[in-house]
Parts: sequence; structure tokens; C-alpha cells
Amino acid sequence: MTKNIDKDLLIRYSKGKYSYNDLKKIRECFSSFKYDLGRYLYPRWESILTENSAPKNLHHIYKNIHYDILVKESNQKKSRKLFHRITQIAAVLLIAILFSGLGYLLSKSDFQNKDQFAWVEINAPLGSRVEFFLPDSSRGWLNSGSKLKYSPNFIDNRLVNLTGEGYFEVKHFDNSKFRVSVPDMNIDVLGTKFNVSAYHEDDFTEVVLEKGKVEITGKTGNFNQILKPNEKISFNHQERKVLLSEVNPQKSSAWKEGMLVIDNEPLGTALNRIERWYNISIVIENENLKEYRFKATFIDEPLEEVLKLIAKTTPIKYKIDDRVISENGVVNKRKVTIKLK
Amino acid sequence: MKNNNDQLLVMKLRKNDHESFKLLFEKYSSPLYNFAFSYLKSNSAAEDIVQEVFIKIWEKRSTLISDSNLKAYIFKIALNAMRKQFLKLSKDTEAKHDILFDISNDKNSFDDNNDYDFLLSKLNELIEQMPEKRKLVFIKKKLEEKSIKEIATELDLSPKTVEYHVTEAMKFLKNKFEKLNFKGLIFFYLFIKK
Repeated sequence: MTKNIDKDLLIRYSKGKYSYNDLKKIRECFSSFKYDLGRYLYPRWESILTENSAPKNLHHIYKNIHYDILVKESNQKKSRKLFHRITQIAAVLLIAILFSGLGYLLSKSDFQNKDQFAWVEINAPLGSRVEFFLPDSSRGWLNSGSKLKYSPNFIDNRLVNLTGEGYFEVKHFDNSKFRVSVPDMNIDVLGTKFNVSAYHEDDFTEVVLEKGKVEITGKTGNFNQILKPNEKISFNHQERKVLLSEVNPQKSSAWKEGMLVIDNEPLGTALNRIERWYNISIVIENENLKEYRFKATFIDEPLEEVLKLIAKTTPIKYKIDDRVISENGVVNKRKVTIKLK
Repeated sequence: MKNNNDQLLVMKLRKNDHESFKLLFEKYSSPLYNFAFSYLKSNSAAEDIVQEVFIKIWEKRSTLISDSNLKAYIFKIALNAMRKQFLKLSKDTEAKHDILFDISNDKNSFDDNNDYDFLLSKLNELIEQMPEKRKLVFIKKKLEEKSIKEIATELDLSPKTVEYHVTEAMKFLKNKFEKLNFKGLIFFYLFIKK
């Protein structure tokens, strides 16, 4: 048996003319399935669809949903690539075996002193991202234009030097610290996952902790901070200021999945990242544009498309210059000029 | 915007096309928000509806039939989501009614007073105007219905201070609503109860 609904009340209520007793009746209609609410409300839904009311800005909701979709899709791709990954790991292992054989031969020879070995260096060329594995089975990713160095006796002394941006998944060993050293701080960790960004052309060094615990010490002894999960420490080396904040750690390490996430970031720092990401050079003509904040997520998009989208959501216009060949025959980077619209 | 447009979008959506998902969002999100808001009377609840409906559309994209009626499909998911939201909001609605009833002068006719929507939005507005700490204490006490003791430990305040904030907040509301009664509502009564 379906009960009757007071149609006038439904309309009155939706337009904001109702008493508390009316509200109670409406709640009853919505919470009980005895009323055939759908039949009464569908015409209203249809009429709202044809109305030309001012659109409500719901872009932030779209962004949320779209971001989740992208993350899910990249996870699915990852599992599909698992077989591919296994063959890759096998190849890496083979190389490792070859190297350790080589190491054995070398240690047998005159190179007894380990310090005479050069440091091991991993490079991520501009415009690329590189996954790396360390001898203690820690692993991570290096972002475009970054470099990671470690000494041959890494197993005894887990120290790596980083310039640029890296994401680390550090293997936990009792009583063995792992240290990431960047120009202005040391990051001491036990087992944990975190992202470090220390490009020398940026004004700041940032560490975002996803899991575990890290201790951060300024190299000039100016600060010492224990970081908890979801926290970000940002050290501005011009103003010598330390800033601590809550963040979503997935967003700061999304680059390792090939995603360029700009989350309410000033245009100036976002364009620095885009410069590295696409290996181009960007000139911003209006200084005050650098402070304009915006949000965007890009995945596998060509440069032109990215600039087009940014120009849609921010007050900029842009010009891409063709590559020029300099006198000594070197092809220069593409140059992008950004102006106020 | 015609329905065959929807058919095309749904066809592409089934092939994981992000652009058509965006177009569907642009087309339906705003009307959906307005529809949900007109019954839920809460911005955050209406936004939740929009989010829930579009997540579902994406998740179910492979089962969508391109020649089915998309706007009816959206309506169906939205209505179910709105039913759930009504239940979630009911505690909040009751708590707000208690506050308004408490500070009303005319308790006999209060529940039949037709400007309840206006009173509710005024209440929300005034809560927002309270100083940050007072607002927090007030919301915990009156809307989340926590005890003085609980709030005191949560916010690291003495029970006396918590009580003080609640009393002051209620005084503030009563005062503001009394002023409204003189100015606005008399006109309102005449207008509605003609």
C-alpha cells in the first residue's frame, strides 16, 4: 500500500515556505518507502533540468572524483604490468649478479681500499622519471633532473645524497639508520615512505611523510623536527624559515605514477615543475602572476595541452617558440613565454 | 541539449573516456545540486549527493546502456542518496529545533510557524558569527550533544569555562532573535498568515 503525499507541501517545502511540522512530514516521506516519492519528485527534477538557473560552481567536486579515478586507473595499470615488472626485476637481478661477480674480481685484485671506488650515481635525465633499487632492498623513484649518490660501503653506512626530488621506500633494519642528505638538511629514518624535494632552483626544500617516522635536522643546526605521517616540512632557504603543515602525501608523490598534480600551488612554483617535467624553459613576464594559485591534475598530457588547460583556469596567455639551433650546433630547449591575459 | 547527445556521451564513457565524463558532470551537476538542496536544505549534504551520484556513474559506466534514459538513471541514484542523507541529518535537525524552540517567545504556535526555513538559516548564520572557541563549544554541546565533561577534556578547558561559553552563546542567539522578532518577523507574519 502506498500512502498519499501532500503534493502542495512538497512544492512549498522545496521553495522554502514550511513549518517545523511540515519538515517532520517531509522527513517521514523520505525515510519511509510507503510513499511513492519518485513519482512526485521526477517532474520536479525534469523541470529543474530545463530551468536556466545560474550554474553552481562544483568544480572542486569534479576535481576530487577525477583525482580518485586517475589514482584507481594507475593502480589497475600497475597490477596489469606486474608480469612485465617481474621480468624487469629478473633483468635487474641478473645485472646485480654480474656486478657482484665483477666486484668480487675487483676485490681480489689490487683495489682493496673501498674508498677508492667511485660513488654510485643514479640519474634521472630532465623530462624523465626513474625507479631505483638500493643494495639494502630499499627502493624509490627519482623525478626529472634529479641525482642520487651513495658510497660503495652503503650496506655499513646507509647514506644517500640527493639533489632534486625523490620518493623513498626505506627497508627497516633494527639499529640501522638510513640517512638522506640534501644541501640544507639531513633526513634520518627507520623504515618508512616519504617524498623529498630539494631542487637547487627552488626556494624551498620539502619533505612529506607518508608512513613511519623521520627526523629532520638542519645542516647549520638551525632546526630539528620529528615528522609524523601526513605532515610536510618546508624549509625556505632564502627566508631561513621552517613551516610545518598537514597534507595529503599521495598528492606530493603522484609524480612517480606519471601524474603532475598541482594542488593550490602558486603559478611560479608550478611552472618550475612543468619546466623540469617537459625539459623546457619558461619565462614569466609579469612578476605578480607567480603568486596566482590554482589546482590541476595532468596525466600523460602533451605540453601544448597542459598550457592550454592552465590558460583556461588562470589569467594567462602563452607563446611557444620553436627550437633554435645555436652557433655551435646545439639545439636549444623549447621556450615558453607566459603573460598576463 | 538533447538526449541523443547523452547517448553519444554514454557510449564514449563505456570506453573509459574522461572527457565525456567531464561533459556529463558539467551538464548535470548543477541541476542535481539544486534539486538535492531544495529538499535537504544543506550545502554540504547537497554536495555529497553530487559526489555520490557521479562516483556511481563512473563505477557503473560499463553497465550503462547507451539508449537508456540517463536523466532517469541519475534521478534514481540521487533519490536513494537523498533518503540516506535525510536520516543522517535528522539528529542535526532535531538539535536545531530544540535550540530554536528554546529561544522562541511564542512556544504554542512555534511548530506551525511557516517561516521555519528562515529561522533555520538565520540560526546557521549566527552560529557562524560566534567567536571560534565559543562556536566549537556550542556545536559540541548543542548539535553533537556531548556532555560538559567530555567537551572540557576534549578541548582542554575547565567545565566552568565550557558552561560559560554555552550560556553566552545561548544569550547571544536569544538576543539576536528577539531583535528580529521586532523588525522582520512581524512583517513576515502579516504577509504569510493573510
